[in-house]
Amino acid sequence: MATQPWRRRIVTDMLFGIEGSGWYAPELREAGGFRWSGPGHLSVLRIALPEGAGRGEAHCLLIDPEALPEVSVFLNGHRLGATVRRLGTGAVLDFAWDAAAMVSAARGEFWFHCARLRHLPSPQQGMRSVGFRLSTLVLEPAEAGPETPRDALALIAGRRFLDTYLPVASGRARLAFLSDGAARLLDMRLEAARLGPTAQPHVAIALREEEGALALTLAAPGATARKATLSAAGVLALPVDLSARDAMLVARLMAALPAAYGAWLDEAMHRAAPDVELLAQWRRALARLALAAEAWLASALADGPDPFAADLAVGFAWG
Amino acid sequence: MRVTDVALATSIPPGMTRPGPGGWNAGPDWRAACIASWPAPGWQVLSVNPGEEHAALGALPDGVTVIAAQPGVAQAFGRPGAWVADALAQALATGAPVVGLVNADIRLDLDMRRRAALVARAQDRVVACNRMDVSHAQQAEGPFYRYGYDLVLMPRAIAQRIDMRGFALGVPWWDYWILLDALLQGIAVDVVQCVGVRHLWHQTAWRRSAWLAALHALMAHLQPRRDAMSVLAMGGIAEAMADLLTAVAADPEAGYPLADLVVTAGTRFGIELVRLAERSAWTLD
Repeated sequence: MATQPWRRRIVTDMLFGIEGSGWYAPELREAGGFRWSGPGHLSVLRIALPEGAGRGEAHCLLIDPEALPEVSVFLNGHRLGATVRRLGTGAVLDFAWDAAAMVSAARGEFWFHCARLRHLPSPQQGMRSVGFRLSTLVLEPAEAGPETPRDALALIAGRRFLDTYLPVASGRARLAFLSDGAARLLDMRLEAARLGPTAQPHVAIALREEEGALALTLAAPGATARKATLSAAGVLALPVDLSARDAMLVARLMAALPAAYGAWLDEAMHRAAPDVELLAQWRRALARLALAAEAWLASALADGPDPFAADLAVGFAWG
Repeated sequence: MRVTDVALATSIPPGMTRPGPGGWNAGPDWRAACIASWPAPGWQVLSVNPGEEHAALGALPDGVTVIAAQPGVAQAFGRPGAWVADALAQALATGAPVVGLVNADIRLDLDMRRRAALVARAQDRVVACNRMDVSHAQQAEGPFYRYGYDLVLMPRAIAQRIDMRGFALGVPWWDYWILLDALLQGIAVDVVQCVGVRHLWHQTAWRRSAWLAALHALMAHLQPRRDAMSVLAMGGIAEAMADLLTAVAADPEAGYPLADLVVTAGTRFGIELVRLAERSAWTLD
């Protein structure tokens, strides 16, 4: 007798600590727990998730006769098709993602953009701005993750290797969004960054996106600005006058930019009413840059000159 | 004679009250539908009831057998019923390779393919099903209740290792302890949601005394195995809740504000157990 298919669920209960921002403290109402989104329109949840496609449900609590929440869902900057339905005393937001949203991403960064905010009395004092009550997020990835212990071992060993021999820290990001005709510009200023053994008081990265291509200018105090490009086809060209090890560190920094962008979101979206489509475009652009940087790094580690022939304690040099 | 694949134990109440449209009591119909839904080819059902309830149970369908319950539940929890250990032992006595427990107000809309899938999964682990709440018998879809397990299946070898002494059907915590006991022994647990495990929603009458008594039973089981809990990596908060609850169970009259603290800590410990079990959460279509 054939058995029915089984689907794995990854459950995030909002009563517990979460990784993300834009949520109030958890509350328990009768048998259900939840967190209000707010005080801004954008709320973020980061969840470990295998690569590949999948589907999900955001279970929201309604206190009748509330209207269904108007919430857009993004995964790693990709807007997801979502529908909302009533279920019992709550609402369920159904969404799905394709593999492109989770390419080379170790975890899913979900954005919930709530169209309307309300001002309700706070449990403590005064009023507060709230969006919707999220009770649980249920994710059903199509892939189960690394399939063999060997795959998992390679991932773990690779991560430890990179952290030990090519450590980078993106520091605290400050962002400014600009435009120049058809081109979109993003100025990232990374404060207290680190490249290998060398602290960087700040690194300025100017990104210009035009017709699918990215042009980057990297600048640090006292150093000549360096150029890099990412073609629309995904080919990354790093500054040419860096040592093999330092070029790898720059690639590692580029791979860390989506996380730096996420950390900036956590800080900047408090009470914000952002242009979520613009935020999403840059999230996707940085993910594309990170993916290309990781591919470049893999190729360099596999086929390039031995990056560890030199003393690893030697400071990073901008060339 | 057909071999029993699954022996399912429960305790059918003599009567059932559930809110229906216009004040109508939907309980009797729902009770009958639940009872009728359990037996199936290869599935044997045992209702373990105190002797004084037997006559009031009425006619039961083929495949449902009434068995006399061990005494003591009324004295422990303030209302008659069956011990979980007793019910599980009766299921084991049938010789079925897979045994389980089902709450008496659960209707199983499980075709043979779903039943086979559940039995196949329960060959080497504990399978714990959440219920789907519906507001009327014909409702196709409803929300799952994540904080309880209303149908639990396991192979007989695992059932023989689970220590359910002190827990009663119809009283909280027994379902949590089955899962925790299994996990403490390194036995796999799967939490399953299937639309075929249905429950007609009703207000829950929370009885603090029974909730506390069953929680104390759980802590009494856990205390001697506290070291094993660390292996589960539930985190510092969960372990602190367990230690607090154990300490209060040992000295419940130690004063302010323990009465309220136990409810808060117990609630948190309960949702920690749910989170622990949901590390392996599955949907059965």
